[in-house]
Amino acid sequence: MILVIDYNLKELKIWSFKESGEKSPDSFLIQDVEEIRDNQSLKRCIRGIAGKDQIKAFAFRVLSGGDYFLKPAIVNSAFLDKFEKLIDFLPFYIPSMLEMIKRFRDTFRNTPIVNFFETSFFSNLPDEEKYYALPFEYYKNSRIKKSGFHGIFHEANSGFVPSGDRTISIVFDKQTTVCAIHNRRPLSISLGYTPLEGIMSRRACGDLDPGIVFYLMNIHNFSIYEIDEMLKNNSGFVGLTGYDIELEDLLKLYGKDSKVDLAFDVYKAQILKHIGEGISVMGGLDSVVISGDNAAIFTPVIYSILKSISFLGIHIERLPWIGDKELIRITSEESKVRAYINRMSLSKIIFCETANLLRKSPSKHPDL
Amino acid sequence: MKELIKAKAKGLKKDLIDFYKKVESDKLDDSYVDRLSGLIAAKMRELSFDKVAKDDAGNLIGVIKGYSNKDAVLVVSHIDTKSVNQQKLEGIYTGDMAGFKAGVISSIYTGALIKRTLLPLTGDLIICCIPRTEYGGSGVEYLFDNFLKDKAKKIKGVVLCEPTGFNINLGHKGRMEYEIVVKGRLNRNFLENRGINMLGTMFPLINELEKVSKDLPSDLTLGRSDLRIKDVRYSGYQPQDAVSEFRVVVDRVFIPEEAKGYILDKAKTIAKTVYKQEPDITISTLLTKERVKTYTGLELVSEKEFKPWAMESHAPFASESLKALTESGFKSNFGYWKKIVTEGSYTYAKMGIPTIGFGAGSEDISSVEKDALTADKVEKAVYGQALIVLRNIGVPTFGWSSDEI
Amino acid sequence: MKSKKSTNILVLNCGSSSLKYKIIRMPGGVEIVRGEAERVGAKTQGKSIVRHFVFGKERIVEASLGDHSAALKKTLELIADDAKKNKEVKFDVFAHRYVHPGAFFSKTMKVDKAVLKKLKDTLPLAAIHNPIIYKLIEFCYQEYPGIGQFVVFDTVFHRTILPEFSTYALPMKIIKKYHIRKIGFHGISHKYVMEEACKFLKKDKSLQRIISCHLGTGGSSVCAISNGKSINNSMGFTPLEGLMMNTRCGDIDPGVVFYIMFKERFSSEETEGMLNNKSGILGIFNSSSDLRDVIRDIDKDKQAKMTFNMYVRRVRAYIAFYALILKKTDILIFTDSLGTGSSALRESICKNMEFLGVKLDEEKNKKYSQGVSDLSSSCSESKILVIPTDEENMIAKEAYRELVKNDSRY
Repeated sequence: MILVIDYNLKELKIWSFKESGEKSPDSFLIQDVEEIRDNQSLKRCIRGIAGKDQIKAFAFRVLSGGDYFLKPAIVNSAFLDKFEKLIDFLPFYIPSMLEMIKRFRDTFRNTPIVNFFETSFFSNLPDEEKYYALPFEYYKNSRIKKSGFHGIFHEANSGFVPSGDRTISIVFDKQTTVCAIHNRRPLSISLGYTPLEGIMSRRACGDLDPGIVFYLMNIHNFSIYEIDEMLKNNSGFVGLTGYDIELEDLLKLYGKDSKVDLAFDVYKAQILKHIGEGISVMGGLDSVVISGDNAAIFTPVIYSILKSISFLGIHIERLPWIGDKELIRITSEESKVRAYINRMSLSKIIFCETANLLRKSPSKHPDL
Repeated sequence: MKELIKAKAKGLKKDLIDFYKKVESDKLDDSYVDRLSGLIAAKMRELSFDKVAKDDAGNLIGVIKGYSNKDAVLVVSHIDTKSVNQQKLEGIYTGDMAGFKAGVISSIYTGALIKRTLLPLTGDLIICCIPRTEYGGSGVEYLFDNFLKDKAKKIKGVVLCEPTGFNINLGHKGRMEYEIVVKGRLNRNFLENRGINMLGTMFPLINELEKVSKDLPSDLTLGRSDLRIKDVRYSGYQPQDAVSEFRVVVDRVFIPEEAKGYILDKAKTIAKTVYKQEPDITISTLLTKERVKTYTGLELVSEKEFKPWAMESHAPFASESLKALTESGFKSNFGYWKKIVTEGSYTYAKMGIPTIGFGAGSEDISSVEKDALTADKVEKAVYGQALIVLRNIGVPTFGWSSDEI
Repeated sequence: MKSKKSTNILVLNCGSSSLKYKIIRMPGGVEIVRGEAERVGAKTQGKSIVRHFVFGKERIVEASLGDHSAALKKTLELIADDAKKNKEVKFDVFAHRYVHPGAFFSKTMKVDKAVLKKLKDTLPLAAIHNPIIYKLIEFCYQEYPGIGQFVVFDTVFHRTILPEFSTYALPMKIIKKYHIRKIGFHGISHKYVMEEACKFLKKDKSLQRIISCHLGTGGSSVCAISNGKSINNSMGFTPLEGLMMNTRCGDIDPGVVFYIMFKERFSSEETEGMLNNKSGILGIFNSSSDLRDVIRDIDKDKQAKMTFNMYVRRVRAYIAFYALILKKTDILIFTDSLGTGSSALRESICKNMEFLGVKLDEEKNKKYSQGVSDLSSSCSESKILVIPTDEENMIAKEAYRELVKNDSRY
């Protein structure tokens, strides 16, 4: 059994996969991290999930690997030293994540822990994409460049189409990201550094004129903390509609509330901008792969976007898109550009990769 | 990030309430401070402080280490130790956390909260619980002369956990105790075989001092100076005594424009004027010295003085700390204490380290009844103190919100 | 039929250290005088001069030009001189180009006391340009009260940008309180080249879908135009958004900006200054802010190659985005100094754009030297035009339009 874990500082989501790839009927949620404050209670909890099965490995999803982790990594002492250096990338996240990993390692000393980073896929971004047009001394600073996001999904998406394809990969999740991939290499990514660029989310603003930041600071006397708070917590769909509800519920109001209509129209426009950017970088388009936890919910939005760019040779099938496989083709046979929905969940992707890694090097145990 | 802090604060609330009950239920006897210090040290260890220490003066120190060593913030609370204060404390209703206890508890839990969030700090967070007598500057002085000796330069600022009604207080008046000593052979009021009418002799001086007390200067922000005659002592009033001596002990509250030397000189001048007819006397003024034996057995001697101090509101430590509060929903303003004195007299007035005060409740003990401190208010103080610490030595995360990861 | 009375319009186009001017006779748009005062108020090594042309004949005059009012005074002196020799050299009204009126103005305005007062409120919106132009307008208003003045705004053409493109995903109450939306710039230039393109191709502008690239050594922006109306522009609420420019950073993650401000303890003024004046081409290339210098060094300097690639990439990204929203690009236009001046730039931008129906004729591209020209290959679905911009002409047109509307003599 392999347990895939997603820790967002508030709760631990755990999926258990038997080696046959059969996913357990439920995922498990430890809602209050305080419940597993000590190793005993953690062990009890995990045992409760795994039952009698032997746990072959734990696999963690980690938001950022910075410059240090360019591919999945198994926990050992070298790993922990490097991981600690990531503090600067996400100060509020890295120490808590490190602590959680250490807890698992101390409680389950013989079980390998594999970490998958959302940024590893983007370590190979072209320089022209990676750097912002800032003065030389900042552009040289490795902290000030695009590290990307949703790398796990985007890399998996690119695996579903021939490597020679010029592919646009779109992930609909808490964040929405658009990535251009060619020859298995990412060439552009909409979320480079923080959710304050790219595509808006429930709370974050997405693409924004940086001049607005200074205008508000001068006129209103906002501090950078206040503006940051406004842009990341009070903007996006919440900012434009005033409704702080799940996007799934917001979508139900489309067509009935002009504020909601505008918000989704702005959202689609931002996605189009990054699709355009991706296609321009690749000089054309052969396939589109869409995935993410929200992909199913946003089917009407996806349909609307792809329909609006059908002149590129995308003949999109009418809704509903049905199929029993994980990869559903949503364009007709005659469509020049092929489009797919990849329904494979993040946890399954991580599970498959973990299983592969263990098969390749079965003797690799954590260096304690 | 704020959601993370609030969630961790919630997780600590029960522990805070239990600790308070323990502290509150203890008897206020002679070994109270000793027991309290034991409780504090144990609690700091239990809450996983990176380092817990007690120095020879009885100061309790808890350190939350930063991931780098660039600077440091001190969070300071005090423990009243003089028996005079014991009487004050007994008058307080149960279930209340007036006095120093709220400050002590909030300082400890501020450290615990920051530790729990695992948010990185650019320097150490040092929590200090300092035992203090009514005039006791010695505790904090000993702390800076010893444990903090090498760290003092790095301290970015000091947060005093004292009642401010959730405002940021920037200072208070000074307070000192001095004595006017009049020595010599006094001719007046000498009654054969019956000795000197000592009180009658002292009366003109006391009268003059009372007059002066009504005409003292005032500071716009800190308030009016004050003079009280605390005590009178005399000796040598028998006919056979070669020398008589009386002392007037003055409790003087003063503002920054009144220098210590000036006050003492003025007192001397007043006495000289009153007794100018007496040819054979000497008059001297001096700050009263206090000899304190700490509960750890150390003997400390210090002058009874708290210097006045007032921080500039535009000083970065003050203005950033206020912004950290108001940006998070606190309706805080700058203020000044009118009645109490604090360790700021040492940290700012003597050491020049930026110092502010922040805490729940009012400095006015008589208003305790209508503004009773509850655990909620102390929890709020902990949250505010944590925000202040993080604004000054925290490492912010821009762009990412803990809700959307 | 009553013939329209002709009017000579003195168009004034302020740069941060220059003053371009033209006397244009409307209707018709005949250029009578043109010129440029260079190094106005600038502390440079070169001398301040005025390049003055009367019916094409050039005259260079050295002068001390402490500020734009001094430059205007000198210009008017020269014009008065010429008027003695040639009675066609005269002007009836002033017309100014104004960069950023915010939400205060939505059309060309005739200057009066109320307009002047309102203009003063717009000064913080373009801290470099607006105050300069405002002072000049005030100067003209006070010194020449008898001569009418019109203000033509660079942003008015973009009033038609669609809400899904002009709205930022900010809290609605902030948007409403500060009128924050994508305002767009270079409107005068984009409108001018759009009209010239349709004239050149003899097409009805109301049926054309056009992407216009104003690429200059000042700022650069791309505009999506549908049916003669602007529907999107790469600049935003301020000119800082969009393309990488000579010293402006263009699109950037504000999270990066906050991080730098925190780490370096920069004030908002310092940071804004850095993003506006030290970034862009200058930021990456370091030794110059002019893309022409970058292109010159491209084969021997890695940094130059990277700078050029970054610049081209961002222009292409916006062209592709606008092609997606227009669904069909009839005309792609290049204008302003870099758009008309660099064949290498045009070639790189148009490379591998067949998926949008854009194919450049490389020979025609290399041979281009001046005027309006069609550089598209025969198999290109879109026309690719190079059109030198003439903002002054557009300003004169707009001012004349406003003048005729309100004056019964016309």
